[in-house]
Amino acid sequence: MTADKELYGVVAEFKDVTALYRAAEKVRDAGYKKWDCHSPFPVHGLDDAMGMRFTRLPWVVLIMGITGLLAGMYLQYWTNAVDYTYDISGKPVWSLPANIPVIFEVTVLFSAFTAFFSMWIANRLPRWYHPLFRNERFSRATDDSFFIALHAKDKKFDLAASTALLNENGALQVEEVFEANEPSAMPAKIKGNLLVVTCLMLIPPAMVYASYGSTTTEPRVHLIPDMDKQDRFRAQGETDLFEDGRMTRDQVAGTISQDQRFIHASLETGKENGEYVTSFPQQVDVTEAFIDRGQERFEIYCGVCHGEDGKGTGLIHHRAVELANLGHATWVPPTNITAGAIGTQADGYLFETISDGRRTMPGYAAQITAEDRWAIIAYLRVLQEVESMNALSPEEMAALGASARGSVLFEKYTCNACHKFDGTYSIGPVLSNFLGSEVKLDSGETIVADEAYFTESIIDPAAKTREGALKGAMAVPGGPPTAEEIVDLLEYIKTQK
Amino acid sequence: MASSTSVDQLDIFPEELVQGENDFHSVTEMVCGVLEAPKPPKSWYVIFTTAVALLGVLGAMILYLITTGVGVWGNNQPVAWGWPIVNFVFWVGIGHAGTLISAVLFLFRQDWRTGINRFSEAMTIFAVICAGMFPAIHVGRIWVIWWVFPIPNQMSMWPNFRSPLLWDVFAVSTYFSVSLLFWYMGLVPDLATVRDRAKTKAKKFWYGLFAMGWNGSNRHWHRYERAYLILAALATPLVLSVHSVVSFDFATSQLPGWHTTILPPYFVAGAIFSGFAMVLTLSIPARKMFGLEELITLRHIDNMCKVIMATGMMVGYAYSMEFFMAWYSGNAYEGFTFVNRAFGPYWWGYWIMVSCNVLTPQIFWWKKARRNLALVFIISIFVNIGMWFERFVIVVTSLNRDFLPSSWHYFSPTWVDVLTLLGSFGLFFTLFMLFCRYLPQVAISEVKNVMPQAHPHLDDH
Repeated sequence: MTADKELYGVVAEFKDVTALYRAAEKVRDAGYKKWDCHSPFPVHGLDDAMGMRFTRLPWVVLIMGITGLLAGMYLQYWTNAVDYTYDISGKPVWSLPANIPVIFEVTVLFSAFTAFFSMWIANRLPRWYHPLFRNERFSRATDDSFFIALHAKDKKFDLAASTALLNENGALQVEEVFEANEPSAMPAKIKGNLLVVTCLMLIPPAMVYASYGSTTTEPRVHLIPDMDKQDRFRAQGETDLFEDGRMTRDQVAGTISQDQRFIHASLETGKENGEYVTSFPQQVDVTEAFIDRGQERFEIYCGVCHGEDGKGTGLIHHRAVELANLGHATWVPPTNITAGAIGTQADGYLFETISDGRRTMPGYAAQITAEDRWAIIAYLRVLQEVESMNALSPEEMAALGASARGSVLFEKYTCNACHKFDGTYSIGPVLSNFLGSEVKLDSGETIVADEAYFTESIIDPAAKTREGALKGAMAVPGGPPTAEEIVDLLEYIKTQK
Repeated sequence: MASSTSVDQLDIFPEELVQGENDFHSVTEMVCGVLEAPKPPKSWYVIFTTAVALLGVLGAMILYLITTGVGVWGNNQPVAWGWPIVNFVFWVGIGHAGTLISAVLFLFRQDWRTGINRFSEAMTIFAVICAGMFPAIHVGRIWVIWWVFPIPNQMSMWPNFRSPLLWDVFAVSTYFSVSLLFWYMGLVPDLATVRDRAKTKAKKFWYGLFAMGWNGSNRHWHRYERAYLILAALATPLVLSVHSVVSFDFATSQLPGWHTTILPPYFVAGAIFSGFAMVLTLSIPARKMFGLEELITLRHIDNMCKVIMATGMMVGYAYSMEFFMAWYSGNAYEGFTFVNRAFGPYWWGYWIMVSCNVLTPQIFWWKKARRNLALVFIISIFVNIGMWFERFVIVVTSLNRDFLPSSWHYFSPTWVDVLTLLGSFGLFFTLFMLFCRYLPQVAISEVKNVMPQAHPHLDDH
């Protein structure tokens, strides 16, 4: 029976650590290499008695510790200083002191795992089967007894001589140990279970792999969707909370919302009963100080375009014309607001213009308070008054020659904003040598500019459009002029050569 | 053979570490007897049942929290860090004694550690589990807690490694991993002992599986001891770093009462203090319950009392130094915070802390007190209470009156706060009672190693 089992070696039991120690020295001196002592606790000094080399484990731990240090540093450098930087008050993205705690922890983690796992690997553990476990006495090696096992594979091993060596050196008993007959295979039941568990464990990673980089038109899976889908009332949504099913509710009668200030109709809108007011609202008191305030606001907000004198030649206008001369921009000039049509507009209408803007002018309700807007209008009325006092009376006008009258009208209807005579850039056509010049229309036809074309263009600017011009772009503020005035204007431009 | 002369022969210690007429086998019998007994003592059932009930409460509280939101706690502005963080620091502090007893005392060759190191390491593992739970549930949306780890994600974002809260993640998880390895490695030879004595097939299988096939080979012992020493050497700075990092959560903020450089050493001393107190709270009943009086002796308890007294005075020094610095810095806000701490609305918390942590341990100047088990047990409970209040005082009194008097707020916990703290004790004691029943409570091989007969007596040396 025992004959067909392979001999593993002999195992000898010793009564205490001293006997074990003495015997180990003798086995070492006899030149054995493949042998071992077994004890329930580490016996100090036994390493020397066995002639063992010191383990290289600390070096492995050192190398992996340094690896951990560099890995911890690089992890932080790459994630925080390269791939995803945190800009915090302009501080440098990489500053070592703040990274030291994590570097230290990663170093310790690497070192500790290395010490732990290398120890098991170097010890060839776990190994749940061992021939020595077949020896019944050997179970006390983890309790209170001490053993020396000599392996049959050692070159010096000889069953009789080795047994004698141990017996001579104080062994209580020497026994032969055999390898197991059958290979120590895993039971089929455990194997099958392991296979099933392994297959089941592969399913989640397989699912992840299958969906990796894939696209879908289905919505995301929300395990806990409260971040993405929150219970709330959406404007214009539906609800079963109210009878009419609407989420957007009308304001409760007689209330206003917090951002809805109490409105004085004429003060805040310039209108009363839907009509533009023609006087200042009662909340403002038109005094000299009020007009001064208006002047200040006018020069801040209006003057840049309309000019501090209100004639439409502010700094922005000058700059835009310069840019347009260089071909960088087109420009619709600001209106002269001191004369012409603006002077006859209702106060409420002007208020609306300042508040909400008109044509290319933006609204200023956000920048200028309602009171200040009224102050600006008060100041504007002063400018207009001054302008009208400077304007010629009908008698004086009549006394002038036709072309001189035309010159005044040319400014009155703000023709001068777009039309120039000096041949540089002007928004409308240059009017020097206008009559008799060739005008190419957008219909492709070329006409000669004559008095009829001139008159038609003033009365109905959209009738004929020059090639490349915007249809109906020309405006005649305060117009159209009377037939007599057109004749005067015609005379005036004739003088411009 | 330098180690051939045992410490006992030098007559340094008045008492032997293992008392009574014990040999190697009787030590094995004593420790393995606990887990081989067909039934544990009745008191085990009482404690275990209570603990499991409290664990159920914890589960219910966490479920309620997750399904409802952190509003179920008393946390609010300005006290946004309420009990959850107090409990976190409390538990993680307790978790430090294990590694300290195991690693630091190992490095200093304090052989008396062998009686209590298994206990305290187990305590460490379970306390860190309790501790780690609190920040995780404190984030509110616990299902995105993985954001704290540098895991590549669809948002292409990485955590901010310069945040102390992130250092905490690394420190606590490293500490847990290393403590677990250290504990398990120490357990393996003892599991082999249990395996070799096991009578039933199930016990043979399970203890055998985790014993890794350990057979007491000296070649294995050699590498094992070296690896154990390295782990101890790594765990020692680790244990200091972890509680320092926990203190950085506070110290790197700009809040009066938190922004001090004394915090790291103060926290570490406090952690050792509370950890030793918890070891005493656990070991005094356990040694009685499981008949381990000859392995966990009065000398062990005496030594631990001395450590408690020393660290208690260290935290007392820290308390007074905080006041001194608040005055000496001339910083009005710092001064206000500390006056408010001792005489403000939470004066009672401050004075509970001082009397439990600084005053009561002074009784350990007397040897009679250090060896009076009932008294030591009571003082250890006081210290546990005092250390919980220390964290409460640090967190709540610094926050409740911040820079803007209009937002001052008197923090009160809710019933959920209270039950969650109680529940965390349930988690701790459930794990601890299972450990007591199913794993060797004392490091058998290490205790054998410090017995006089463990050393070869060689006449020629």
